[in-house]
Amino acid sequence: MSESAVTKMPRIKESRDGRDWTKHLLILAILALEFLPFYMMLQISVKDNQTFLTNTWLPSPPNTWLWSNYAHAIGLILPYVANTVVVAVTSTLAGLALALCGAYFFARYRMPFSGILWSALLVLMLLPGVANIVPLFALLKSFDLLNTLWALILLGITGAQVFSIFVFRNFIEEIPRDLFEAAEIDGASHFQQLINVVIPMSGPIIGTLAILQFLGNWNDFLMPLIVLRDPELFTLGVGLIYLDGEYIKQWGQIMAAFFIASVPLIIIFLFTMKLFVRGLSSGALKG
Amino acid sequence: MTRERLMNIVGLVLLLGCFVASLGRILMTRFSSGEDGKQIVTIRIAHWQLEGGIRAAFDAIAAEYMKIHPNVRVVQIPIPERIYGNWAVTQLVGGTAPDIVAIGKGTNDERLSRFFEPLTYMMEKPNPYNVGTPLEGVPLRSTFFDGGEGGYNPALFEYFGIPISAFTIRVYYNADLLRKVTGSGQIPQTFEEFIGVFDKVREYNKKTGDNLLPVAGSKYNGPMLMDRLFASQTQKRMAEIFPPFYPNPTSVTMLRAIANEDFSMDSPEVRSGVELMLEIAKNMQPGFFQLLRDDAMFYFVQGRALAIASGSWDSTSIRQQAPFPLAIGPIPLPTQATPRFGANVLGQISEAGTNAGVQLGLTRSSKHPEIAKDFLFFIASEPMQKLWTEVSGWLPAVTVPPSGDAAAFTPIEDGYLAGVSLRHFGDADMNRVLDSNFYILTSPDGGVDAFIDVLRKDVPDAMRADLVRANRNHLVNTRRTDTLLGAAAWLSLTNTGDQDLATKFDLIIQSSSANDRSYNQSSDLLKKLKP
Amino acid sequence: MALPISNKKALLEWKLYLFILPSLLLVLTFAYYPAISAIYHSFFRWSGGDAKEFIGLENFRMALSDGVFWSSFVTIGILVIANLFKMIPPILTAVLIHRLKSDVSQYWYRVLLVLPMIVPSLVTLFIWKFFFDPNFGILNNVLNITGIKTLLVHIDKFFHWGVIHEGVPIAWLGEPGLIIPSLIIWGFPWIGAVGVLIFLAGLQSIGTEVYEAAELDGVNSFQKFLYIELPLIMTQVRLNMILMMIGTLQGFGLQFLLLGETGGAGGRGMVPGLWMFNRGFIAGEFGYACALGLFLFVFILILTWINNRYVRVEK
Repeated sequence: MSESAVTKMPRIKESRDGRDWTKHLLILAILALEFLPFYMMLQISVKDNQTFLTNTWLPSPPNTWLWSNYAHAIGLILPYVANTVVVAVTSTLAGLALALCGAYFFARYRMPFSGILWSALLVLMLLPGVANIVPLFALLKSFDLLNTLWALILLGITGAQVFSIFVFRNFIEEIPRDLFEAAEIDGASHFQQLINVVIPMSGPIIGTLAILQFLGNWNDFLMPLIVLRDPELFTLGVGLIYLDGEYIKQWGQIMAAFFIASVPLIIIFLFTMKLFVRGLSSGALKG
Repeated sequence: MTRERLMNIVGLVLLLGCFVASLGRILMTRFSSGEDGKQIVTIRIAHWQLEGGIRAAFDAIAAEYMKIHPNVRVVQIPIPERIYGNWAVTQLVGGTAPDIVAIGKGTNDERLSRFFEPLTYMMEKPNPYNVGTPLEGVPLRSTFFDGGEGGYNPALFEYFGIPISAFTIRVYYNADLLRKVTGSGQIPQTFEEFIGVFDKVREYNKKTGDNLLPVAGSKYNGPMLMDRLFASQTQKRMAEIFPPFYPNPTSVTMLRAIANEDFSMDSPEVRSGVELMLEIAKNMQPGFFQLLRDDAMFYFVQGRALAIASGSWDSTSIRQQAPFPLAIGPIPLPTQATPRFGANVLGQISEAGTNAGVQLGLTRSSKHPEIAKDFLFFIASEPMQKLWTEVSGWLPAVTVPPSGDAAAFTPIEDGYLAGVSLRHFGDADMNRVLDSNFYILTSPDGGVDAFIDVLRKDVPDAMRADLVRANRNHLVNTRRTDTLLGAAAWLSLTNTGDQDLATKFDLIIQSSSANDRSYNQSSDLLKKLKP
Repeated sequence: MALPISNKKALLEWKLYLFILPSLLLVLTFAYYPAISAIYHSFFRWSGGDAKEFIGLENFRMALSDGVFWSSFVTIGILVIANLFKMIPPILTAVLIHRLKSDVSQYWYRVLLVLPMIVPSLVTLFIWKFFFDPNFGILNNVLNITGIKTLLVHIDKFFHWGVIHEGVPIAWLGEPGLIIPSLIIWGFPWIGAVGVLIFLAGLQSIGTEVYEAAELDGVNSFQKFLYIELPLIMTQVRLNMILMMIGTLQGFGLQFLLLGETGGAGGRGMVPGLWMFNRGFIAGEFGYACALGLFLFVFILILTWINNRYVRVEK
């Protein structure tokens, strides 16, 4: 469903005017609680342990802010962030590209065997991946992919395929047939049709799926924990566990490190906010 | 260009920038660490000692090594203790384990024999890096203060670890608070003084309205005190039941004692031991058993507790974190003259049996075993052990006098054999019973009797479960030597006269029979125990 | 819908198969093969290397008598029920936002909802772990300041739980009895941005005539919720419920990070997935872990099927 279907329904002026204030208050209260971790993270990141103990809730005055916490934190966490950026971006881009191709296959024509293949993919959606970890480890070992970032990238791409193909297929099937036919008449190959017809129309969908997949990769820690050996390859998930394993923690530095770990996400969100909200609300994911 | 498109492009460019920078970084580290013209070899060491001072010590020693061998890079991989176990298993099974791996967590007998190289031949040779020191020409084994026993695996009959440090348990006191509370600032030397100091803390609290804790406890630190004190109560009985110089008590030993009715949960020793535990537990925070190691450390370092019991491994961390001077003393045990607890005691427990720790093992998947072995020799050499103890503040494994900070932890050799604590009665299941029921001892409607009641009920089953597991281990160990036996027998039939082989054959037979004996003993015990 | 195609034309369009090939290969290698391999290896005693010993159904027999495994199902059952309740706040929030008059504030609230997603969920988890800290954590701080702590101490004495004591910080993650409550409390106020947005999208499609009719019938707000809004977002609710159940049942990342690989103090936080991970990657019994995984898989499959059959959408 394209977003044009979501037209705002004209609201009736309900006769109970005052009601909205309570709604606003409630929503704001809930949102405040949602933001609590974020707020705590920020205000602790510029304190040291002692200050934090005496003044837990309120931010300390700006002239006492410990920027050295951030300097420390960069040293702590930048390598992990860098690794995770590489893994997440690569697997998102490659994953989406492959999923688009795959969805095109299903959406364009009902080719022979496509029914079987489709069910095969769907089954995977229901398959709890939990039993796979052990043989996956053995598989990676036999490919000699252990302790590499490639393993994580490949796994990230695979993980996203099913859901992305599902969503993309629904979307591509909604595209009016004539556009494709027109392109065919102009002599475009299937690949060119994909690029020239599908991609321009699917901006918000691609954006939303990209963000979701990027987030998934950013937060993944289980496979990196199993696969990686060298600390210089650690991704964010393992890096954070590592930080958590220190015996006496300097909370200010750790919170600063958390903030730095969120920075790439902040960048993405700031610039693609509208896409994401539109994409989710457009009901394309109504299932 | 609309503002929105501009923002989108800026965002994408930023992200791309991050991506390219990160990629560049990865490529750079990959290529400089691998095969580059000058053949730089990288040796990796994995361990879990994240305590203060240790990583610096490793780096210092690595730097010294790199001075002598400029084409070798030594990199340490410190992994948090919490995930070390499964990290080690994953790496070993996956074949990507670093060259040198600290053994002890995640390494059982089976993994040792599959993934680690036996280091017995190393132990027999003199350390080449000891030339010019008093230890020159001495076989490596004898350069360690425990004779290398810490790295020896009796079930496998080989040395698997080269130790580089040692640990003892002490009580750390906040010297400032100690002076405030006692006036003299003297460390308690006897058990009565020990308890007395805690009473003084309570008086101090009443006088000044402060809220000091006598001892900071946790699931980790509490048992260190309590188990040591409990062990003092079983000393006499153990010496009576077992011949002198009995080996370190294992669950099988204790189970035999119980089956022979030499020991039970109703013995007076167990009772007085539990009372002693309670006596100490009263001086820790209520509910301390649920707290973690970090929490107790936090109390102490923030100056809210007078004392904390911990191993020597924490000394540098505490020193780095605490703004006050430390006073360090051993755990004073009751003597025979102590009222109430003296009857079952032989005396202060000797630490002469302390084994060296931080065992470094050599993995079979190492790509440069010769260089790794050389580094192991290096780190266990006299000059490097001196460097180790200076930088880390930990005890050395080699017979080198520990430097200033570590001196307080030197094992105290004078004393008697230790008794057993409750934990020695079993393994994992016994620990579980103790841990989940401990609160009964300290809760107001529980107490010594209630706790002993629970022990009486649950311990036999726990010991049985642990014994079944130990039994299975023995069986597996015995089976493993079967193949060796077969191979050695065949070789000896076809290769008579090889003296080395004959010795090995003997050793294998001994090991196999020892395992067999253990297996038979534990099987018998299992049959004897009530189901 | 995709156009049907004759076999002749399909041959001409053979290149289309190339489009699906890479995805298919990846999925076969990294998703299907491990699944089949898991089934295969569950019949062996396997420590992850090349050596394995066929032991038939021994792994399954051991699993059936494995106390830790079955009690972990109890734990996960409690967590699933808790998560079912935790689905209510997103629905309520979506309804609240939906009923606002002004479209502008609707839009801004949507944006504000998505904002906390900036903090990666991993970081949120660690921040929550920090909240639970007995000394530094703000949870204990709040309870102390508001006096709820004393209330809890009294309740504790009344019920003889023995977990909350006077004068000592509550050890949320260290006290066996408190582990499950901690896992349930985690993530307060339990609003997930994605969930709310999806529900909102569903609510958009409710026409104003329905509201007008309800108004004429004199229906109050709560009845409006029950009879109009809830039924119309049932598809989303059902989808969410299935995904949530599958996710919770097989998830163990939360427990692993908060509590460690043995499920925390007293093993109370052990869930089936974590036990499988433990047996495989810590005890090294990979074959047994595969068998456990199979049990879990079958369990999830059965639950999903039940869910599909009995939770239906009425129009």
